[in-house]
Amino acid sequence: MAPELNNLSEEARSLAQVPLFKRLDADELEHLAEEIDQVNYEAGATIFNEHDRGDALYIVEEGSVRIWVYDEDVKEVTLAELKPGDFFGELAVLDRGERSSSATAITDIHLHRLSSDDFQKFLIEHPDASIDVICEIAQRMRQTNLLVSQRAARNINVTMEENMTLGQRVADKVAAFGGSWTFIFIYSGFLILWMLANTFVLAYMGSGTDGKQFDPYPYILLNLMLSMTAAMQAPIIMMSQNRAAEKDRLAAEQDFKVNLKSELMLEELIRKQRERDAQVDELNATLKTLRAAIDSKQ
Amino acid sequence: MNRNPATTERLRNLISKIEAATVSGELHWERQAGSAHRYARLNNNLLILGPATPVGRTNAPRYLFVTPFDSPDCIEINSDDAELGSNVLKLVAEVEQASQHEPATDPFAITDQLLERLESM
Repeated sequence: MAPELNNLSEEARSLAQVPLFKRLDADELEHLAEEIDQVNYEAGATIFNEHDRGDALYIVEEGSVRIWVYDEDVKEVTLAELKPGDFFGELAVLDRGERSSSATAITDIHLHRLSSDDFQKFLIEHPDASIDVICEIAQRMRQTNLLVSQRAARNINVTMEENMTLGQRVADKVAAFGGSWTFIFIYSGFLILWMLANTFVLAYMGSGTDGKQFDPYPYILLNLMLSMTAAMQAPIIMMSQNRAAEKDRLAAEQDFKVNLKSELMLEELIRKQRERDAQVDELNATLKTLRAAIDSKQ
Repeated sequence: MNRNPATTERLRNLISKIEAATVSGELHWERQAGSAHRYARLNNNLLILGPATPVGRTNAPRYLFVTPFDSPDCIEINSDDAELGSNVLKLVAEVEQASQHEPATDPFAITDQLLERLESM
């Protein structure tokens, strides 16, 4: 510790350890210590909730704090875990708006609490510290953006099957049925019946040259239906193929883990085996030497 | 999967320990050629960071896979885990930083060592 810091009060000394206040001299630290409150929270306690009015900035002195928000599924998403020296609650203090996230104590914690007015005054008086705060905010924004974009996929390997939507399930069923012999037989039977009915059966029923045919040769209505079926089936099958590709990717990922583990285990076993071989060779050589020594004595 | 707070805390500590070992250089991460996989050995355990898709492509979640060499048990933590996701992402960033200058492991590379062994047959 620098000699000038030894003469500081306990509060000022602990503030000197905070990176945000590293540029302050002894007098400024003492002055700041008078303005800062000390607060304690037990593990699990809420420091503030999202949408609360932001009235102060907090700096962690001891313990750890979790910053989190609710996502669209009302699940808690941890944005950051703060350790001693880190600060939080700065956004609402800067724009005097609501808290953008919630803060909860992970362990028993001791915090420095600086009111909005005092924090803004501090920033105005210490532009260097303002730059540090901006850098920290920018870094947190990057982390949050990354977290948000990573969560956008939401395709957890293990629960992929459970998370299938109704549309995906239907696509899989349609693709499975559309790619089966059953479908081919049923559809062929339907086509033959349609053509027979319109060519022979219905032609002799009713009056007039066409009888009761509703789709005479060359079966325009049937062609239209076939085109529509093909047009509908193609994207559904493609949806199913996309899912199949995703499943393959996950399977490949699983194979990679197993193969890598096996490969490294084998590598280790071979290495150990070589060591054993070397030891056995060494023992054999020693035995030979001992035998030769015994033989020479006899 | 149901996970109690104590287990979550232990997992968090585990990730922190791995991260600290990575930053200090105690833990050596290897990287595969043509893949974003990173792996390391820690006290007879295998650690894998994946998947193969590049870290820059954010549409796929990252995972940390931990398995002991002497057991089929394993733990996998995803970056979309509500409680531990941010820890995994932080670890991914640290590992990327630590392993960016590592030569990539390529099982199909033609090495002098391999050629010498084959030539001596």
